[in-house]
Amino acid sequence: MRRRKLAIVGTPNVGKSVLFNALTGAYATVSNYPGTTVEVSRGLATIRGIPFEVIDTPGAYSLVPITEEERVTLRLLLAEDIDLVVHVVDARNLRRMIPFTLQLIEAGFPLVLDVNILDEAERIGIRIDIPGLEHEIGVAVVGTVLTRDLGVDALKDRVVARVQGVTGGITGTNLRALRRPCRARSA
Amino acid sequence: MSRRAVAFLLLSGDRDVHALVRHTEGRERYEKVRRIVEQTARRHDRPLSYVIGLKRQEEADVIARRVTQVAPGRKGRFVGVLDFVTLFPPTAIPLLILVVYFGLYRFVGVFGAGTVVDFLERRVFAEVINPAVNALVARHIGSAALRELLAGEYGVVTLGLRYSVAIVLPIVGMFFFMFSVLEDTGYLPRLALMSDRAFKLIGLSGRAVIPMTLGFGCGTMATMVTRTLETRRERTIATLLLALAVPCSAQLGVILGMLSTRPQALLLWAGVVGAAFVLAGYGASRFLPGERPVFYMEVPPLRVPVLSNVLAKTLARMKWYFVEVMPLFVGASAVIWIGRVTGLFQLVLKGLEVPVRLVGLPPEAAFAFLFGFFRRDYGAAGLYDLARAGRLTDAQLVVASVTLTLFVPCVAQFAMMWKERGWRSALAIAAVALAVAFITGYALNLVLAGTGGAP
Amino acid sequence: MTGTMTSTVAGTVAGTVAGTAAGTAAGTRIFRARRGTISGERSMPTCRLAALRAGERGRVVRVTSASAPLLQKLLAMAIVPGSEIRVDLAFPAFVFEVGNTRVAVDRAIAQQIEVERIGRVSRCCTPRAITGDPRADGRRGGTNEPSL
Repeated sequence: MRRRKLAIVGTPNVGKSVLFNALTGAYATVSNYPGTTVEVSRGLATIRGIPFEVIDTPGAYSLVPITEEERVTLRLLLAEDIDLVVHVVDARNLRRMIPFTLQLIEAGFPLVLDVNILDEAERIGIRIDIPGLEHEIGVAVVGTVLTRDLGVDALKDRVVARVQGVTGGITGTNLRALRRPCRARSA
Repeated sequence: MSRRAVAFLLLSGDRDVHALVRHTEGRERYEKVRRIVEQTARRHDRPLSYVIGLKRQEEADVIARRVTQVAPGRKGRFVGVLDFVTLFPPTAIPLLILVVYFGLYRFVGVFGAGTVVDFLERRVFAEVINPAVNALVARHIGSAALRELLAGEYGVVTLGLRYSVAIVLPIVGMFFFMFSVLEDTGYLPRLALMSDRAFKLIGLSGRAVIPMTLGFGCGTMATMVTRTLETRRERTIATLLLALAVPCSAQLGVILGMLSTRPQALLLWAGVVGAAFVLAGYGASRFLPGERPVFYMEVPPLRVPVLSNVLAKTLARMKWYFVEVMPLFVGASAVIWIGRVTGLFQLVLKGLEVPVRLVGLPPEAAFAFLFGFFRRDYGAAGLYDLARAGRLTDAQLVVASVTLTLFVPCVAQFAMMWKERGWRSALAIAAVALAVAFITGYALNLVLAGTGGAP
Repeated sequence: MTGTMTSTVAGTVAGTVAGTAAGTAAGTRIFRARRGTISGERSMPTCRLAALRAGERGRVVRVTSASAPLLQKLLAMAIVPGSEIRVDLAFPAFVFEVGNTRVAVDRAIAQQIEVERIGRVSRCCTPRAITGDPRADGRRGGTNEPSL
């Protein structure tokens, strides 16, 4: 079976590496993590019987690069044949994180959104309506607490479903931003 | 990637995507695209990337608001207090001093550089490994030159490996552990914002606190980490300061050991090196062209460090050290061997003796300086031997320590400078360090001789 | 092949442009409307973030910088018109909360962020954890709705 390429993207400190380790486990070819994050980690994983190459991209806030890390991430997304992107976001800062999700959807990547750190969010009184979010943006959304290994199974299910083309009728195209007609500028 | 995304990236002026489109579409068609981008940009008073970004943020706001429920949550009171203590200058600065004292001095300096190194060096290498290797080599290798390469005073195993494993690795390892703890707690950004104003004086921003702190562990890794600084100018200044006036833990260990019985000498050394740091930074920031640095940083909440995270980071850094730096040190032993066999070293030593005499040191000290390039700590150790043999007065010891600290970085750090900044900058920085080291040594020697004072 | 591709890229760029232009126009309208509502409640003069003291709150009105990278960075931290901020510390750097993120900036950047003060000056300078003000969020959304 063809090995699929899965890229994990997101801002620094949202749990990308934790997810990377959870997916690749013992099969990870751990690359050096010196003081810098510009190095890219790659590992192999078998998820529900499907072989994957998992890429842990450097922390990025947006597809439009301003840091070296973001440049690496953009180049990676442009150059590699990515089958699926998992965007990991911090549930406490959804407002800041969604613009990047929108960009990834716009760019046409098959996407699974991982809303992580739900426990901390709940602790400060924030609750995220996961199905509601899925409905709003039109891509698969999973809530996780990666540090406690919660939600990883559901995430794997969605990942597999997405690469097998089962999207449950959800595609990126029902996103409001994309449907909005282009109007000419009125003076 | 969809055409829409490519279009947005073109409008945002991303240079990679512009280059890509020029390449795939041909120059003529690309020009058409570029004109459209330019025309659009002219119709807006803000950069297009910002205009698009704001619009996207608006959309995100609507989505986020619809799916987020905010209840008055419990506040982590403990976190609040800690936040206050680490941010409010009157408490944050004493806390910083405590962190440096216990974390850096007591843990890395006294325990790491003292206890652990003593054990590995005196017990493991001096008593077990070195005699075994020497005996083995003596028994099986006929050629004297080859014997010297592997064993003896400067052998690849007996010197190269011994210094890397017994001295540098424990010190650097403990430093990395301490640094990883600070990193994992989220304290580093606070350190950065606290020191931003001070760093602005020397042309850097608070962000530089991370490579600078790391420099007290390993200058080579710190030089690599200067990548995280925003502008080329900041990276150059930071690289210079690391090469010039930030002693790495291995060197610091030997110098502290050598001067610890003479507190005044230690203070004088620290004062002069500190002054060189500030003056060089100030000078470089005036001299180097470029924009003034800006500082912005996210300040994550403090948290109790997670041991597994800390260990993973420490191990990753030590692994990096093993793979990237240690071979250079072992290789340096081989270079020393070649230098000695071919007589090249004698030549360089003769050359170095001139400035060494100039700063008022005995010519033998040239040896320590030359070796200091191959191993910073080994240079210091060379001085230590001279001092013990009674060849240096206290004043000379201070002059020698200062000059050696400012002197060019070790070979691994120099290689990293070359790799990160390019050969021009690397050579220029090394030349500046060399000049500043001997000029400072010269001036210090004059002052000490003038006051007639051994401190 | 390349020809069709090109025309589409150029077409998309042009299309995107039109969309953005419309977006900005709409954005300006919302912006005025929002300001109107607020000044109706309580007249608030704008000032620079650098003028706020620890404990004070404000709403970002405009970021005056012309530097695209800086604007982009502030955007990445959701420091955009409409965002509510709360200052934790004004010295040695400006530390403030925006949403659930705490950000530190230097004085030069703080000078380029125009804000309007919200509420009364708080005497408490202890950095407070999270502020959830659903009322403010609701108002934001309300003014946003018509544009959709």
